[in-house]
Amino acid sequence: MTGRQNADTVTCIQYHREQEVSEVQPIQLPLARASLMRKAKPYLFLLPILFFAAGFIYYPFFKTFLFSFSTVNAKGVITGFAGLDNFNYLFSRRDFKIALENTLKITAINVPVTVFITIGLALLANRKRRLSPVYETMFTLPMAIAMSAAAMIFKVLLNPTVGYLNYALGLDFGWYQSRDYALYGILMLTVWMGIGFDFLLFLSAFRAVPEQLIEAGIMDGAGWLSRFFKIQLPLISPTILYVTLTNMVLAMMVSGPVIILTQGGPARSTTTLIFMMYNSGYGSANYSLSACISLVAFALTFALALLAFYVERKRVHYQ
Amino acid sequence: MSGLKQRRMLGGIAVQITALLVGLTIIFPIIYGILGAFKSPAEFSAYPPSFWPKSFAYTRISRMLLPVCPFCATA
Repeated sequence: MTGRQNADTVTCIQYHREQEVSEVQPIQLPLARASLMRKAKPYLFLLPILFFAAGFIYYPFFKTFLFSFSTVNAKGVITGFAGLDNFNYLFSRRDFKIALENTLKITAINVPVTVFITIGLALLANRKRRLSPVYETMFTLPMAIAMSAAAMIFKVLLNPTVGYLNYALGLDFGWYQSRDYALYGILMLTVWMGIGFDFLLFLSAFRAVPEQLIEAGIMDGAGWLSRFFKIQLPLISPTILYVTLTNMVLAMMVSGPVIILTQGGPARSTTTLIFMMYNSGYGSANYSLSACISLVAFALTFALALLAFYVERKRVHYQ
Repeated sequence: MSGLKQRRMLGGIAVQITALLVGLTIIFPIIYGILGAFKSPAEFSAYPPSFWPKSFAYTRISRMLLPVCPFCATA
């Protein structure tokens, strides 16, 4: 027998064996067990992400909650129950009130300004023109810059002596050195950083508005402004809600630019809640105070999100 | 060319020029940062500040790139 014939015989035997195996009936599981398996299957798929969420989201949240009602030593070990004492101490501190005020001020300015600017940019770039790819890229470019790099550029740009912006505008004050302007310097950076992504969201929302609705508006004699307020704006309201909510959360949590640019100064004029939390946790090892601040920030953000969802029911239109 | 068509075309050009100017304003910090990387330390902290580097200094960039690209040292 040649090698080729040998190989053919082996393949033939394998084929017959496979046929036999395939003809074997699958083992019938008891009905209850099969049903249980079917019900458990989705949860088994979810198990890995649930495991990570429990480990990296819910456990830290639970521990923060626990810390805020306890006395904690510098090693991060709970030494006793403090009740509401930590919160009483926090609310009596003057710097907490300043931090809260600054955070709310940043949120109150940052969110509408970013939404207003990005809606304007999206309107400008709404219709596709020859140069559209150029200015669309320009509008989205801030998204590609890391926060720390952007903070360093702004620090140089707004420097009182060698800053080009001050020189070009004929100003001589230090944006990040002045108590009155430091917060606005931080705001300039946060607004600039938010432009790219929000512009993209609004642009896609504007382009998704059906053209026939706009044409119907034109035929009915609606001007540009009434078309914008009565057709486009209601149709992009879900995007406005999303952008407002995400910006609100980001503004409430702003700390990176503060850490890099001002360290909360001058005279605590740029101290935000999260910066204060970072400072009391990592700077002073006061973990219980840090936990209290994070809970307050969470409660405020949650309340603002609830408010946004309340407005959503009345003002947001889904197609 | 009809008056309406001409007006539309001019409007389109105006929109594009405005968008380009706004775009340049938005990317100004990025351009300033990139150009700043090519300034010498003395020029970087000089008064009055300049937008465009007087002479492009590549030494700091080549020093930064050295660990990842050894042949850049000669650049």
